[in-house]
Amino acid sequence: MTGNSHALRLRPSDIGEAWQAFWFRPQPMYTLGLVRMGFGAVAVLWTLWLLPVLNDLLAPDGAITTPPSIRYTWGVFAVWPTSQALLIGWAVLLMAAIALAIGWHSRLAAVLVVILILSFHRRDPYIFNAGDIVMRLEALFLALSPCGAALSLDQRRRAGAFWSAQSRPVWPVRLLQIQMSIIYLASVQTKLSGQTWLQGTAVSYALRLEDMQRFPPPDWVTTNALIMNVATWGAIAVELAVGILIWNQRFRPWVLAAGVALHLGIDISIEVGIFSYAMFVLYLAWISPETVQRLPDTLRQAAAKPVAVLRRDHPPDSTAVPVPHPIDGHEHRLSEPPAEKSLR
Amino acid sequence: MAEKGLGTSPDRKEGDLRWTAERVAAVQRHLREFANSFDRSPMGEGAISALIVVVLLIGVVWNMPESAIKRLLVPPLEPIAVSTGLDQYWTMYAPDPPQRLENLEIHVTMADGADRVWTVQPRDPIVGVGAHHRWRKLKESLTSEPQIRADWAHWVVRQLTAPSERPVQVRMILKTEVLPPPGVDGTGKTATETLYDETLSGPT
Repeated sequence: MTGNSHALRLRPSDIGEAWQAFWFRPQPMYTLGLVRMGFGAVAVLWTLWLLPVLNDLLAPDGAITTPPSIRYTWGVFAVWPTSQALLIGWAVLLMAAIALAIGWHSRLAAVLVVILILSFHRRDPYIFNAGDIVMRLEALFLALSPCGAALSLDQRRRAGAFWSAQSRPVWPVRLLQIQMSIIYLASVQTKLSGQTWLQGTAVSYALRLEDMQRFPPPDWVTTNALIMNVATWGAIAVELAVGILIWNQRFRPWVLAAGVALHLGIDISIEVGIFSYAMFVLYLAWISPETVQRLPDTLRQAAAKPVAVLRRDHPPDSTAVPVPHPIDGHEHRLSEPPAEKSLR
Repeated sequence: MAEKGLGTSPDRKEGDLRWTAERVAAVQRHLREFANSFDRSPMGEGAISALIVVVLLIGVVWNMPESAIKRLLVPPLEPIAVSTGLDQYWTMYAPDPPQRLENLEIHVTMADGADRVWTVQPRDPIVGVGAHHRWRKLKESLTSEPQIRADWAHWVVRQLTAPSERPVQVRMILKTEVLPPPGVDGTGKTATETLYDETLSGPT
């Protein structure tokens, strides 16, 4: 009894220690490096998608001539509201997104990306959706973090290897993880305040909106009440599960797989812009640093298998040594790979 | 040796430059070391903890249902949330997805009576998706943001007419068809709504 009551008593120092362990435990920044690379790639796509509408929807002589007046908003294009500024801003954003993807002056690149994404948003908020807001938040979190501390040209300059990582406090990864839970849980809460989600018909309406259809499922699917009940309540169940069960290590692979399936389904059937890809960037924040560190070897071994099957007289390299998972020092890199394995 | 003491000698200038470069490099090194060790220092952890609390508070408060807590916390957090882009609402197809089809037509009537029509163009489902979803979002904003209708209508007039031509009227028409619930046969009610109508007297 004494032991139990002692265990149940929570002291302020315990909370402080838990906070410290949750946010500031040092970790090799492989996961953050992977998120930065993924975000950089998606930011390049986001920027390229903006080009066809730059003149028609964002320029001062386009369909929206002036940005709305909203308190506390600011942006480069509020100070410099010309078509020329938009084009220069677009080009700088493209360059910065590429730099961020490869980790070249990562922090500066991330700052430029967040300033320019925010500036485009504020210029014409009527054309941006939830996916664009996810992009904005990811850019901000990367700009606040030491996002070049792994898998970057910056890290290569410091440590000599691209696929290596510094050990830093884990808080940037935690912020991305919690942001993902907030998105799903807030989305479920709002959906449950509507009628069609409770009635199990919402997905049917969403799939039949002709101007949003991409590769729509057949009518017999979208108008079948039973199938649509399952799809609607299934979507809510998946969102709720990803938002909560992602924090449980045992359930994590399953809910991540369910979430990936949900977003792939949405992206194939409905035109939602960058949303699914931006969410996948948040999913990367759940991949362990050890898994990311081993990724080159994993991919190499996976690629070697079909080659070995084709060349039966030349079996795969059985002497390949698994890469250890050092979580101890400050610099982590692939353990003494053979010369041809070097990623420098 | 005595000449090196003179401020005007080339050697002294070179020495000064070297000294300055070394100082700049040292300052840069200290700044880099400070930045690298900041989030591991007690001061850094305190500052980052404060940042985390603000970020999480904004994420939670902005998505709360209308409530006393939200009314209390939004005003002090709003300057930070909006200026940093942390403001966020997650309402994808929520609380309900649209339950009707909407087709937008913008008609420009010319002085000779001709009617020219602009609509959001169909697109390729792979290559065209990047631009098309932005036009569709703008169309969705038309109903909630009536102040953008005039700008858009004037832009269409400029797209459909040459400077030498004389347009006399622009109308923005929304044609709708209600979607029946799944499992219910038949087509839904159709309607036509004029969102904007302007008689043009001069250049747009």
